[in-house]
Amino acid sequence: LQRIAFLLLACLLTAGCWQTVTRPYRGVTSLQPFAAGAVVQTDPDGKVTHYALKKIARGRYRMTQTDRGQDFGQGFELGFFPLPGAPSHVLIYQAAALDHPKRDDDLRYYGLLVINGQKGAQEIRPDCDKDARAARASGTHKGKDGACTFADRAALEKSLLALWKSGKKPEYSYVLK
Amino acid sequence: MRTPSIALLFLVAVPVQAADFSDPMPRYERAGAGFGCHMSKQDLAQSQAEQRDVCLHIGPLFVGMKRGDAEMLLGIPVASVPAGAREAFAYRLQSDTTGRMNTYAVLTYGDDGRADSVQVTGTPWPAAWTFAGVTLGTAQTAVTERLGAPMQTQKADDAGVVQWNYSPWTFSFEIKDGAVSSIRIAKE
Repeated sequence: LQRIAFLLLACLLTAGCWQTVTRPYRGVTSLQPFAAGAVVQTDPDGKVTHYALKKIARGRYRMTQTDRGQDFGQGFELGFFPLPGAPSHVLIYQAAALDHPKRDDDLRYYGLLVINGQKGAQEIRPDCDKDARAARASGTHKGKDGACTFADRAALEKSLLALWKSGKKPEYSYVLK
Repeated sequence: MRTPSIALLFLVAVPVQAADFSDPMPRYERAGAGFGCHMSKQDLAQSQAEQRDVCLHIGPLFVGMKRGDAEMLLGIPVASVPAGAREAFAYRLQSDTTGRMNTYAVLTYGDDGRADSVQVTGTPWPAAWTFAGVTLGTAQTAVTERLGAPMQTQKADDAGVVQWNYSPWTFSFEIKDGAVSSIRIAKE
C-alpha cells in the first residue's frame, strides 16, 4: 500500500487536513528561511523523528525521513510563503508527498510555521474539525472526505490568518542541526 | 557492473511477496517491446531541469543523486569494494535482530560526485523502496506481469541467484527462490 510519511499521517488518519487541489502557489517561488541539513522533529507526545532537508528548485525544499523504519526515505516537497496580515516570522507551509499516485498530483497540504530563528521552528497543523471556525472564515467547510479543501489561495490565506489569530498553539517543533 | 563481493558478505533468504502496482510515479511501464517513463507534469519539469531520467530511482535513491545527498539519507558507508576503476560503497538499510546487516544499498559515483549506479539488495524491509513497482521480495511472476520477461538472464555469482537484465534499459534484478533479491539501476 501507498505509505504516507509521518508529517501527514495524523491529518490523513482523521481525514482532517487543510488542503487544496488547485496548486495555488504553482508559479510562486517560496522563501528559504533555513539552510539544508539534518532536522529533528518532536511531536506533541515527545516522539522524535529525523529528516534530511535539501534545497531544490523554485525555493522549495525536500524533506526526507532518515530514521530506519516504514517511512525511511519517505518525504515531502515543502514550500514556505508569507501570510498576509501575520507577523513576518509566521509563514504558510505547503507540503506535497514525494511519493504519490497520479490522482494526487495537485494535492497540497497546508499549515503554519512559526520561525524561531535560523535553526528552529514550530508547526501549527490545522485540523478540519478542531479548527472549523477558522476554516469557515473563508466559507470553507468539511467535505465528504473529511478534509477542508480550499477553493483558491485567497480562501486559504484568509482561513490561515484566522487560524493564527485564534491563538492555536504549535504542537510540533523542528530543530535544524 | 554488479558488486558481487559486497553481495556475498550478506547472503539473505527472501520471502516472496506480491507486487503492489499502486506504486507512485514516476515509474517505467512496459510499452510494446520497450519501456516508457510514466511521469507527472512535475516529474517532467524536474526531468528537464535536472537533465536526468526521473524513472531511474529506487525509492528516494536515484541515478544522478549527489553523494552528499545520498549520505545525508543513508549515513556513512559501512563497506567499500573496488568496482572497475572506482569504488562501490555499501550503506546499511536494515539489520536483523542479531545486528547483522541484511538489507543494504550499494552506490557508485562518477567523477562529478553523482551516483551512476544504485543497487538495493537483501531481505524485504519495512520501507520497501520500489523501482517500477518492484521491491525486494516481489515475486518473479509479478515482475513479469509488470515489466514483461527479461531480455536476458544469466546466473549470478551467488548460488541459486539468476540475474534478469532488460538491456538496453539500464535496470536489472536478481531473482532468488522465485523472488527479487536485488534491484539495480544505472546511468548506462
